[in-house]
Amino acid sequence: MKKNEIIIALALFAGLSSCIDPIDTGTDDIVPKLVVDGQVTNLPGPYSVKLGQSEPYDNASITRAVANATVYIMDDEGNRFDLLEGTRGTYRTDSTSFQGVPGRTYTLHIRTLEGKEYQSQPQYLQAAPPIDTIFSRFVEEVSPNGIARDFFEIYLKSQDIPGEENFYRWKWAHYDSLKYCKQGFAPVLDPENGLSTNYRLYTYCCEPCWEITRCNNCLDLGNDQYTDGRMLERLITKIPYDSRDDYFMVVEQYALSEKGYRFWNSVLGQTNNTGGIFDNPPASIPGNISNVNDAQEQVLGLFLASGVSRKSVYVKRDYVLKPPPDDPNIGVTILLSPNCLGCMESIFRTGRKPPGW
Amino acid sequence: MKKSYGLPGLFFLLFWVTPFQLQGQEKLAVVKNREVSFLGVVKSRDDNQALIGANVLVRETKAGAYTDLNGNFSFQLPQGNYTFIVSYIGYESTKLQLTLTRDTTQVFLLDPLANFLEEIEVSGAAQDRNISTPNLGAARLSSTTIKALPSLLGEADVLKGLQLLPGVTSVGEGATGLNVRGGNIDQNLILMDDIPVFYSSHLLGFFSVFNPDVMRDVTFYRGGIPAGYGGRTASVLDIRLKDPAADKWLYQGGIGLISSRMMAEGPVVPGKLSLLVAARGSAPNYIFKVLPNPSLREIDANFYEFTAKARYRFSDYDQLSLTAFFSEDAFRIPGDSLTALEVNATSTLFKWRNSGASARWNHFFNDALSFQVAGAIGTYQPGFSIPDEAYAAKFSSGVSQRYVKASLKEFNAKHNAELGVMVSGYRIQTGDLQPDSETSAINALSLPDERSTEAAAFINDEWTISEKVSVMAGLRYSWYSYNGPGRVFQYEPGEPRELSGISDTVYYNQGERIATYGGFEPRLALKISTGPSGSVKFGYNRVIQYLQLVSNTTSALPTDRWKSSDLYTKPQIADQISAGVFRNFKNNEYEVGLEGYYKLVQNMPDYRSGVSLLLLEATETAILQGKGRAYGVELLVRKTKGRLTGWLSYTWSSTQLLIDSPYDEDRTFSGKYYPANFDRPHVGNLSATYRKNRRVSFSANFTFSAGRPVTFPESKYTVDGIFIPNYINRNEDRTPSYHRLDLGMKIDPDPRNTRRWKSYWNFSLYNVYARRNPYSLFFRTKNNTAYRALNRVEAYRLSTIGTIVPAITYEFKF
Repeated sequence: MKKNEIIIALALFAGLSSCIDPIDTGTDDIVPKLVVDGQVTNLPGPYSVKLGQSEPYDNASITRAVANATVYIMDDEGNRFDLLEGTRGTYRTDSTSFQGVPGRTYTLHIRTLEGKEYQSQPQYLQAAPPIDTIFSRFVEEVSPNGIARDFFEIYLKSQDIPGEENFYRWKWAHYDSLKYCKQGFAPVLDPENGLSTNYRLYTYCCEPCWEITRCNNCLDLGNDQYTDGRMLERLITKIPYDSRDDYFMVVEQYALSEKGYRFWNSVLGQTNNTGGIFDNPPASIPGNISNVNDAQEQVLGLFLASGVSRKSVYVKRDYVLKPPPDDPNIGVTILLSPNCLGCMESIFRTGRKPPGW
Repeated sequence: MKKSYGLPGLFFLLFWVTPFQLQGQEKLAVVKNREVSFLGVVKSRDDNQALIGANVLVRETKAGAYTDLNGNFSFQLPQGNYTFIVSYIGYESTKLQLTLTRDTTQVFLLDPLANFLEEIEVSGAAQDRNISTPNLGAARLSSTTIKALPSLLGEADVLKGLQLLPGVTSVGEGATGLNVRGGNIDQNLILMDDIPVFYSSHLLGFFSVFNPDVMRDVTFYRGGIPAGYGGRTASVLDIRLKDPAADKWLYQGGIGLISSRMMAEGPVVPGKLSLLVAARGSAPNYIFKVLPNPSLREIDANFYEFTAKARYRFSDYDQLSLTAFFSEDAFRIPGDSLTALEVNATSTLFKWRNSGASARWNHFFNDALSFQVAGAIGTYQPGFSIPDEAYAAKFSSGVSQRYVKASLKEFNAKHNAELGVMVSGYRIQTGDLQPDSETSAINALSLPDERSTEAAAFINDEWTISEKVSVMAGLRYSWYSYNGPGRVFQYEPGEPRELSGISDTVYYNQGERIATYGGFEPRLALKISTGPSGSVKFGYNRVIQYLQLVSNTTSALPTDRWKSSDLYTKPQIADQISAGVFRNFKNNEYEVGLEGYYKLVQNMPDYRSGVSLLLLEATETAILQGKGRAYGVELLVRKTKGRLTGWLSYTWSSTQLLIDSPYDEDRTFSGKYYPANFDRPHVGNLSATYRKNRRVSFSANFTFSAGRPVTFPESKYTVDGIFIPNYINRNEDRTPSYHRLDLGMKIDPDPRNTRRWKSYWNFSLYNVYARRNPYSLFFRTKNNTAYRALNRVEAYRLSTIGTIVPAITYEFKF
C-alpha cells in the first residue's frame, strides 16, 4: 500500500496523476499441484494439516480438497503420530496423545490415494520467547472530512534472545462476549397510515458466545537482525476508541525457522506488489515439502513447527479524558426477539471461552 | 604529405584525421605553386570560447581539419582563392572567402544555434563521421540538442535524450538509469569530466543529476568501446563539461517548475586561469502540502547540486583542468516500505549524495604526440533515517572509486593511437546502521568495507589503412583483486548456500588478496567504404566488469548497494559482435545507418526470493548468477540540414537471462532463458525540430515501444488463510504497448537583440494525448474478507504519468 502511495506521490509531485486501472486477463487451464498447509506448535492441539490443490488464479472457488490420504508426523525420537481425516481435506492430530515439545524435530509424511509419497524437511520446534507486556497508546486523529477517528495503538514488548537469529510472526485476536447472536430487521406496520417501518431486531444468545475480530490475512513478521538481544517493542495493531470498556485481546508470538520466515517474507513481498518500481520480481515461492520419488514435482505450501507464546490482556480504555464518540444506536428503536439462538462456531464466533478470559 | 604537420608553431590536431584531409593533400602535391600557411582559430561568438573539434573544410581543395584543444587549425595551401567552411555541433556554420598570398591568421566566430534555433544534431562533429570512422554504436549529443527536445516538466535531461537513440531503453517512467542493448543499469560507465558517477538520478529517477547548462557534449558508446574505457559492459557515457569562458564574465540561468539554475563563468587571471561555477536546486515541497491525503502530505523531496570547473593554461603545450561536483537529494516518505528494515516506522528520510573531483593535465610534446594524466574520485553515499523513538536509526552506505589514468596519444594522418595505464581503487561501505536515540532498540550494526583494486593497461589505434579501409584495434588487459581485511564464509558442500549452512569462516588480513581475476579485453572495429557516401562496418568487443549493483526490485533504489566481485560473485564478462551498413544521401543531408548486434554476458546476477540484501554480509546467500544474451537490429535515419531536422530510429531487440544452478530451488524458472525486465522487442522514436524563423521554433517527439515483460501468476493457493500467487514462467506476458507524443516550442522574444541580456521562453507538453501508458500490470487478491470465495483476484494496470503535463521555463543569459 505504501509503495503505491509513493508512486502516486511521485506522479503528483510531478503535477500529474498516476492511474491504476483494473484490467481483464484470462488465465489458462492449469495443472493442479498439491498444496500443504500444516503446523505443529507447543500449544495444546489438535493440530491440523490441510491438503488441497492449487486453482486457477482468477478462480473464486474454494480450494479443492485432497481426501483419503494417509498423513502422519514423525518426531526425532521415532514416534509416529497419525492424523485423522476430517472434512474438506483437513487432517487432525489426536490432542490427547500429541503436543509439540520445544527442542524436538518433526517431519510430516503424506501418502495420497494414488500412492504418491511426500515428506517435509525436518522442522525443529524452537521455543518462542515469552511476551513481556502488552501496552496501549492513545492516538487522536481526525479524518479529512472532520470526523474524529481516535484509536489506540497496541504494542507488544518482548525480550529477544541474544546471540542467535530469531524470526518472528505475530498474530492477535480480539474477543468480545456477545449478548445478541443475531441482528436483523423486522418490518412493523403503523396502523395509522398503513406503512411499514423497518426496526432493528436483536436475538439473544442462548449460551455463552464470543465474537472474534482478527486480521485474517495479516502477515506481521519480524527478525532480530538489527535488534539482537534487545527488548523488542512492536506495534501489533490499532483498535478503535468506541467505548471505555476494556478491550480483550489474545496476542501470539511465533518463533519461525529461517526457512519459514523466508517463505512468509516472500509471500509478503509478492502479495503486496503494486506494479511499481520497487516491486520484487515475482517468483514461485519454494516450500518445504517434496515428493519422495520425484524431486521435480512442485509441491506448494509448507509444514512448520513453531514455538508460540501467548498473552491475554484487557486493554484499558478508560484512561482517556475525552469521551468516546456516541454509540450510533442511541435513539434507535430496538426490538428484542423472544427467542434465543445458539452460538454458531465459525472463524468469527466461538462458544469456547478464550484463553485468559 | 608530411609538410602540413611539420611547420613549427602550428598545433597538432587533437582528434582523428578523416579521409578528406588525405584527399586534399594528395591533390595539393600536384600543384607546384608556392605554399603559404593558413592558421585559424575557431571560437564561439557567444562567450569567445575556443571550439574544440570544429570541422573546417576548404571547398576548393576538399581538404578538411579539426580544431585542437585551443580551437586552432592549420593548412598548408598554395597561393590562391579559397572558401573556408567552418561548422561545429550546436553552432551555425560559417563561410569565408579569402585570397591567400602569404602566411595568414584568421579568427572564425561561430554563432550558437541557441540564438538562431537553427538545427539540432544528435551526433558527429564531422558531417560524414557516421560513414568515415570505424566507430560502431557511437553517438554524440550536444547540450543544445538536449535542451531543444521537449521534456517532462521542462527539465532538459541528457538521459532522457539518450533514450531517443536506438538501443537505449529504461524500465519505465520514473525508473532510474538506462538499459543499453540489453544491459543492466549498472553496466553503463558514466563519466563526467572523468569523475565516475554511480547513481545518476534525482527524485528516484525522474530527472538526472547532470545540469544541462554546464555540459558541453556527451559521447555515448554502446558498441565499439575504445580500449581506453573499461569496467562496465554495456556502454560508456562520457560527459564533458564546457571549458570556462576565457575572456569575459558571462552569466546564465533558468527558472522552471521543478528546478532553477544559475551559472557564472569567466577569467580569473586573464589568459591563464578561468573558472566556471554553477548551481541548480529544487524546492518542490509545496506541491505535496496541498494534497488531501495526510500520508502524501508527509512526502518531502528536494535536491540541489553544484558544479565547478577551473582551467589553467601554463602554455600552449600544457594545461590543467579541475572539476568538482556535488549533489544531494532528500526524499521523505511515510512508513519504511523501502528500507526492508521491518521496524514499523512512521516515516523514513532518504538521502543520497554524489560527490567527485577530477584533475586532468595535458601536455603536448609536438603537434602529433601528447601525454595526459587524469586523476579522479567519485563517491556515492546513500542513506536513510527513521525518526521514531523506539527504533530511531540511521543507515549509511557508500561506494567510491579513485583512479589515475595516464596515456600517450600519437596522432597523424594514418594513426590515432593511444597507449595507457590505469589504476583504480574501489571502496564500498556496504552498510552501517546506528541507533539514533537513547531508547532505540536498534543495535549498532556495521558491515565490513569491501576494498578492491583494478589495474589496466591498454593500447588502441584507429588506423586509416587506405581511403577505403580503416580499423580501430584495441587491447586492454585488466586485473582485479578483492583485498583483505575480510572474511569469507564457507558453506556445506552440495547444498544451496544459506546462512544456516555456514560451516566455517576464513579470515584474511590487510594486504592479503581474497580473490583475483583478470583478462584480456580485445576491441576491434573495421570500416570498409562502399563508395563516396557509404560504408560497412564490423566490430567485436569484450568488456569485463568487476563491480555490480545488487538490486532485487524492478527498478533500482537509491539505497541499493554495490558489490565487489569476490570469491563467490564472479565478474561479469560481455562479448559483443556488431555489424552495420551506413549511407549518406544528398551531400550528407540524410544519414541512414543499420546496425545489428549479438551480445553474451557471463555471470549476470539475479536474486533469491525473500532475502533482503540490506545489511546482509553473506551476499552469496542472496545472489545467483547466470547468463545473459541480447541481440537486435537498430535503424537510424537522420536529417541534418535545413529548417526541418531530426531523426527516426527503430530498434528490434531481445534480451534474455538464464539462471542455472545445481540446486532445484535456485534454478529460476526451471533453468530456461526468460526475458529481462527491460526487454522491449520494438522501440521507435521520431524526433523533429522545425525552425519557423529566428523567433520561433517547434520540436516534437514521438515514442513507441512494445510492452515490458510482466509475470502473470499461473495459479493460487492458500496457506494459513492467506492467498499466495504461484508464478511459473517469469516475464512471459507483456504490458500493452507504450506510445507518447511530446511537443515543445522555443521563443526568442527579441532575436535581433545583440545586447548582453538575452532571454528565451520554452513551452512543452508531455504526453500530449494524455495516454495512460502502462508501467506495469500487477495482481492483487482482495484479501479483505474471511470468506474465501469473495476474495476475488484482480489484475490492475499502473500508469506512472497518465495525463498531459504542460511546462514552462524561462532562460536568460547576460
